[in-house]
Amino acid sequence: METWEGKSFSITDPKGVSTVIYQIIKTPKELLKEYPKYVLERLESTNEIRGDMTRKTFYVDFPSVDQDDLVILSFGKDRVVVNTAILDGDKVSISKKPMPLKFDSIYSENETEIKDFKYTPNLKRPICVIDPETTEEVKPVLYFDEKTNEVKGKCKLKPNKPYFAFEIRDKKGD
Amino acid sequence: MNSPRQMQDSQLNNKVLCCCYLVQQCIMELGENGKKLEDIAHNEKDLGTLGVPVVDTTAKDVENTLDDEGRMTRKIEKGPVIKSAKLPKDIKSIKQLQEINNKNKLNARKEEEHEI
Repeated sequence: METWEGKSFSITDPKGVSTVIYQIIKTPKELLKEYPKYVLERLESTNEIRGDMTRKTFYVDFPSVDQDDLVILSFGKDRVVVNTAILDGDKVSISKKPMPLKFDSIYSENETEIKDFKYTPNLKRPICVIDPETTEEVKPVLYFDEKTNEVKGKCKLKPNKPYFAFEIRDKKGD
Repeated sequence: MNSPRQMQDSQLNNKVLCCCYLVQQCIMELGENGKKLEDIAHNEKDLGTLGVPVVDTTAKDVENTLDDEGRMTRKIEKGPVIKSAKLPKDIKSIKQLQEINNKNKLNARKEEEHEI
C-alpha cells in the first residue's frame, strides 16, 4: 500500500449549472519534441445535492510543487462561463472576470444535407471538445490510415447542436 | 474580447452547404503569479444570475492511498468523505500512476498509438 498527498477544494453550482474543472500540466522539456506543451487533466469530483444547488468537491491527485493553473467551465442551459484559477498550497485564487459564451443558434435550412464531419486531432495540438448538455468530452477515435501511413483520428459531431471546444497555448511571441 | 462570427459558405452543385461554423470565439489569459486574480470572485448573490459557481477558496489536504489491488482511495483531511476509484490492474505503484496520469497521461497516449 502506498500513500501520498493530494488536494481538494469545493464549489457550489447554482441550479441548472454544471461545472467541470481542468488542471493544466506542462510537459517536461525532454518530451516536448513528441508531445504538446500543455496537457489537460480533467479533475474527478464527487457531488452532494443541497436543495437546488450542487456542491462539488474536486480532487487534484498530483498537485505541482509550486502552483497549478486551473480552467473552470460552468455549463448552463444556453451558455458556458469560462474562468481560470490557481491552486497554490491551501489557497484557490479565482479570476474575478469570468467570461460567458452564449451558444448562438446554428444556421440551418429545412433541406439540410447532413454529412459526417471528420476532425483529425493533432496530437501536438490537443483540442478538447465538450458536449455542453452532458459536459462529457467528445473523444476522438484513432485509426490507421493505410493510404497515408499515418495515425489519424476523428470525432463524430451531431448536426445542429452546440459544442464547446478549447485549447491551451502560449501567447504569440512567447 | 468576444468576436462573434458565423461562417456559412462553400458552393457545390449550385447548392449552398454549411461547411463550417465558428459561432463564438474567445481568448482568455491565465493568471500570472496571482495577478488579476482575487481570493473570492463571487458571492451568494451571484448564484443563478451569472450562472457561475461559488468557489470555496480553501483547499484541503487529501490522503491518497493505492492498495495492492490497484484501488485508489481518497480521504479528505478532517472529513468523512472517502472516494474510491478502481485503477487498471497493471498499476501497482504511485510512480506508475503518476506516469499514466501523465503526471500527464503522456504514456497513456503513447500506448494508444502503439496499439493502433
